[in-house]
Amino acid sequence: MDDSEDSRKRFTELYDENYRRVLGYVTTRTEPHLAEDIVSETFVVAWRRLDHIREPALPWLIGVARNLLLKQRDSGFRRRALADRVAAMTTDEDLVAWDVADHVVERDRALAAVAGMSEADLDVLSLVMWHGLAPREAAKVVGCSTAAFFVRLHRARRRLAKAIDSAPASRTRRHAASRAADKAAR
Amino acid sequence: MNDNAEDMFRTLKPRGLDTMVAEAHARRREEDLAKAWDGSGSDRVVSVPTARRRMPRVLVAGLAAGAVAATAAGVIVATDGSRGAGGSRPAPSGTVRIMDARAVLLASADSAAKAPATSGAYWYTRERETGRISPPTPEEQKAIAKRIGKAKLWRGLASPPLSASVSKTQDSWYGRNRHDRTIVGIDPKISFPTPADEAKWKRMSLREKRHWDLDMTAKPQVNNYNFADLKLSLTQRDKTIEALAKLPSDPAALERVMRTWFKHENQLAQQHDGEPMGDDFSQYVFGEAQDLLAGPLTPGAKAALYRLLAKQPGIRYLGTATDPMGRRGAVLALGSGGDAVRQAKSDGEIRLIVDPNTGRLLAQESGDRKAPSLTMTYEAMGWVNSLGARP
Repeated sequence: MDDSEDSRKRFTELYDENYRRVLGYVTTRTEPHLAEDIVSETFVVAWRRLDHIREPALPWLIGVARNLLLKQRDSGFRRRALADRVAAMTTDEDLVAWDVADHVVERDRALAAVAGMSEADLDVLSLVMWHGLAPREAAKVVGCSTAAFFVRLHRARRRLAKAIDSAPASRTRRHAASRAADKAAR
Repeated sequence: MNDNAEDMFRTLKPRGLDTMVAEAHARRREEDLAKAWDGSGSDRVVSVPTARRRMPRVLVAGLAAGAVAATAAGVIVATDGSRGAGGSRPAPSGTVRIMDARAVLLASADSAAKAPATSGAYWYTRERETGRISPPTPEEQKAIAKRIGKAKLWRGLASPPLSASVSKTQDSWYGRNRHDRTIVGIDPKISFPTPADEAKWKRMSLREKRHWDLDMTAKPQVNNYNFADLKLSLTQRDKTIEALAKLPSDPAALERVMRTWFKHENQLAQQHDGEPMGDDFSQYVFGEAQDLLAGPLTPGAKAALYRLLAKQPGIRYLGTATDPMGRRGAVLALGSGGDAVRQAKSDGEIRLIVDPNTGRLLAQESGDRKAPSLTMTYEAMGWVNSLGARP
């Protein structure tokens, strides 16, 4: 590997440009400290393979991190369900944001509906809707053709709509906001 | 009140995530860079790009046929030669053909040009899809095994255990604002070639039925999509509703546009498969026609497309036929290669049924002429001004 200043410069740019999005992805899959270790390991791999990485690097990096996550499950790290992570990371800010968005279903119920979905579906949905990957990029992450990814995305969307539809609509949708406001007042 | 499931999913993204990762970036940066440079990372061997493990095209096509995958993108996606339509029977033609394919296409162009120009906020289509599944023949089994290798991954999809035809109708609205809606699974019907197939179907578990899309108990389902902020790839951008509605009415200009699409598609194929698509430009135009004629083209652009088709070599006129709705039209066919006899036998043949008197696409089918593997019947289409409205 070329250990020149140029390589170091390119790698630093790669790290600074992509670190947050790679960690954002991993943090929704495992506890924060483990997530940081996995991203650290991801960039060790990226340094070794620097000459082979083509732009945009993000799908490749998330792909490496995702593989490490899958491997970690067997070796003590626990890969967490996405809904567990969302529940653990929920703050008052999230409750307020939910009310502002004026959704017909309560957040808890929507989250419960999402928790019932397969991790594979949630992976596909979150890559596109949370982490901002274009379907072509997300296809690279999960290791399939763009066409196949569209099929997966379509099915995941269909199942998401179905899961949310079967969650009962909220009758007291100001509930969460007032709860948050009460908390803030205290 | 917002009942869109995808909006809800977006809102579920934890607000604190962005701050958390920005904080970690600052905190871990020096340590991570140093760790990479002095190679003190673990020696764990990482099997990296799973991206190489592509789904074989033949299976993608098979899956897409059931799921109408194109609608997921909110854009119209080209179908490949392995998709098609069913049910029509070319009438036996005499020794003398009154019309050839070119004459049919030029007549259709003239009729299409006379249609009134309309517009709206959403392009609506109502399509009935009839798909036929059957267990693979021993030769097909061999071919499939060869093509997909011994990948365990796909074994579950390998072969349908029985023969059946399933029909379902889908309503779709494609918004200029990239808000789409589909209602899928309307009026499901199943039929079997033999009582033995039906008996086998009755014994299937619900899980198995769902796997093969043979479950007839599911209710129609409404899906709302918001693709407004989805970043589109080059080939998707080419075919948004807005872009299709603006296609030129000059055949030469349309050809230039389609040659650019063709180039983009080939670039994409090259990127994914390391090789361009197998089709030549004529096959590409014919393959696109089925989607474009069911799309929001102006009367002028539709006419231009028929004229462009009339210029393509290899398109054959098979006579007249009635589509599954009983509408009469002219059958135009293009195979996936070889001479006419081989094309007719091959599953790669795509047939369009068009009405030369109106320039309307009535149906398309593919596969065997007597038992098409897929038939799409275009029951209705047109512009409307709101989601849920029908022309």
